Amino acid sequence: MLSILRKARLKDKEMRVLMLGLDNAGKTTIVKQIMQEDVNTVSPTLGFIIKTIEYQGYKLNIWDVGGQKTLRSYWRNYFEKTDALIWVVDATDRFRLEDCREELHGLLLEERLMGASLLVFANKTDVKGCMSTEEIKEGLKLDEIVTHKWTILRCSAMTGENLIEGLDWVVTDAKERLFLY
Amino acid sequence: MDEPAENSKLIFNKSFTADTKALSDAISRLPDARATDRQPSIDAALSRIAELTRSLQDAAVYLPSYDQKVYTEQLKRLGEQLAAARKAIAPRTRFAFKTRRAPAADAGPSQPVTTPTASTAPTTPATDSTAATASTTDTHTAPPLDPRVATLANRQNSHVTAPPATATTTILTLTSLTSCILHPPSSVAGARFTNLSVQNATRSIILCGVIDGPAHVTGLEGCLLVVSCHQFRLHECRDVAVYLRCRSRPIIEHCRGITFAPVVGSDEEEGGNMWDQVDDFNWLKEGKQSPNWRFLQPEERLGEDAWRRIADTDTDVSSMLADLLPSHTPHNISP
Repeated sequence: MLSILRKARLKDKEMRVLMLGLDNAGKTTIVKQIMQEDVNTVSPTLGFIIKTIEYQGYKLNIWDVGGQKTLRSYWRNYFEKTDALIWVVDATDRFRLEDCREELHGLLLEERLMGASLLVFANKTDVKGCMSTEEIKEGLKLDEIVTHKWTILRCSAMTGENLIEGLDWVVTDAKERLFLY
Repeated sequence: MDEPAENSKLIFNKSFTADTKALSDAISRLPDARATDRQPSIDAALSRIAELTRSLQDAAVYLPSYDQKVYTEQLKRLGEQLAAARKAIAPRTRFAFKTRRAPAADAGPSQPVTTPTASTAPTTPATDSTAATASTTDTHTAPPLDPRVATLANRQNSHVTAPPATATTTILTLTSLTSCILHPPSSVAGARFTNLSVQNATRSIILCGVIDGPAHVTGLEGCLLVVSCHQFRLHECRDVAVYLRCRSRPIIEHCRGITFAPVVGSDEEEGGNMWDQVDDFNWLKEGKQSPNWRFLQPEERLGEDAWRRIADTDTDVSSMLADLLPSHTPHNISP
């Protein structure tokens, strides 16, 4: 059933991308930067925002769901039919790295996210003193993830660094996987 | 599709069980392998796990969801087993977190902090921990310190000044302040902080100055907080007066007794000030004021004289705090 749905959506060249992460990770700013909108006046997200980005002829429906604690219990409402999960990490926030790991690994147990690949965006890497990729990998125990295909990319929502590269990974990976059916 | 699906299920189960068993055995033999053989074996195990994950994904077409979950769990355990084995045979030494007293020539956090009591600290029993040499910071809850993060932690009963922003130090972290007056950071060559996080403060006046990015504040009680920033998030706070300049909508979550006022003179600055458009994540009822916060009426706000006294580093901290901090505010007053 799932595969039929997938196929239908791929014919339309549509993909559903779920973007999650703790509050203050920079999820909305990433989307705004990709859309080339003003990134200086982004307010914390109350609820969720859906944006459609055209990339390589694909329509990426990006679901950007707020990361405040009160909203995290609602994340599950957005799992269905997710082709890719983008997990955004605030690379300047050492304090909450453990929280961040727990939330991420909790998500990876979700059955409805099983088929999705995982892109970890280490955001705010334009800030001096941010964590290294290795530090984040270790802190989030990414090497222990075997249930999902994953990768980690350093990026900056403020400068736009690596954002397109991230989309590229998502699309390339989804093409490889979804065309198998 | 019952008959073939049943068959496929059985076939999958057989091969999957055999494969995971073999892999698990291989992993448990890792410690006995010669050092030079280990890395290839680890790599092989990793790619084997990835292969099994893929085949499980492919089998999703005919496997019931419960089975998928069970198999996924097995793969996860294999991953954990492998991680444990790797750890056991190769204790990682790549990482050595530097303490902030490391001899590194950083300008930020190791700068002496000007406090009236600091000069006597080394000879008297440490009533405050300004003598940071003595206490390498309570690392129980604090994360490892990076020399490029300006950190101020564990201060009591004193005037303290936030470490300065420099070209290489633009993250400011304030932790565990009790009965302190924190004076805003100075700036080296026009550098500004781009990130502020404040954790746990009680009965303190906290002046953060201008932050060119988000401020993330958690666990304040009975405090006065002054900050100018791009984004403002306040979590798990009680009885805090916030004087704010914010370029986006400020939010509070799990807070009570919060009052908001604008930073004086902030209206003229470019970018505008949305200090009064507060969202309470625990009160999302349209058109009804949250009981968790209110505006500070103009007559309740601190006047010029009070701000001048706060800026003075020679005053007696405890009497200043008694004078200026918000007492327990009634929670049911609406603006």
